[in-house]
Amino acid sequence: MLITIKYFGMLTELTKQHQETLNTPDAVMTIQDLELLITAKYPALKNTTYNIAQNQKIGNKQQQLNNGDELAFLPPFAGG
Amino acid sequence: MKKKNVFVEGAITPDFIANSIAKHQTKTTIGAHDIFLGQVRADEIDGKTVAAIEYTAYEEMANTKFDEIREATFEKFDLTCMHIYHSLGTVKAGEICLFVFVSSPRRKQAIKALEHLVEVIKAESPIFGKEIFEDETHQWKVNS
Repeated sequence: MLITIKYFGMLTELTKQHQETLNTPDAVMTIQDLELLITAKYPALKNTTYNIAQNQKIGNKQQQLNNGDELAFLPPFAGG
Repeated sequence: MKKKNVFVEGAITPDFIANSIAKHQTKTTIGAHDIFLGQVRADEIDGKTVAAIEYTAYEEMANTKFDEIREATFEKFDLTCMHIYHSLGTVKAGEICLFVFVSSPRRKQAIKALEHLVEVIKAESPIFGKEIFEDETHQWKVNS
């Protein structure tokens, strides 16, 4: 599957990325599977707080991924 | 519903706020406005002073979220108008980064709606702030 991943705030510094597209292995089926892949790639993420939005909605990590999904790693909000 | 864009580049100016107020003078069913202005604080952290905050956002998600917040607030309170503006990019200490403006026939609804809106915006909108110190080092802001 092709998954677009976006990083925001301090996560852009930890990953040195704003956005990347991954062609995920077949075994990666849920948000949680993808999170394991990403934290293996960027170990610094393991010590930080974030939520993951799938197509702009923050939900359950057991949700299935679909080809073309946009996942965003969001650190704590700081608006206002 | 057409998506509104909440974001403005840089600080929100006093002129912009004054013009927004002026535009409502033709809407004569309104009896009360309430306004919240968020201002960048020159916090002192470990002996260093915040000079500015650089804001970024997951803009698509934030604008969708603001639409939902707006719709839910209109359902909950008796409001005539509601406007939300948030800065992106650099806003210096002392400048305005958030402008929330609600109008209602009566004051109590306006006051309650405004407080509700500001709390929801702070908790739910994917906006990120980098606090830049006077010596150009930085840290990432977290809402308390």
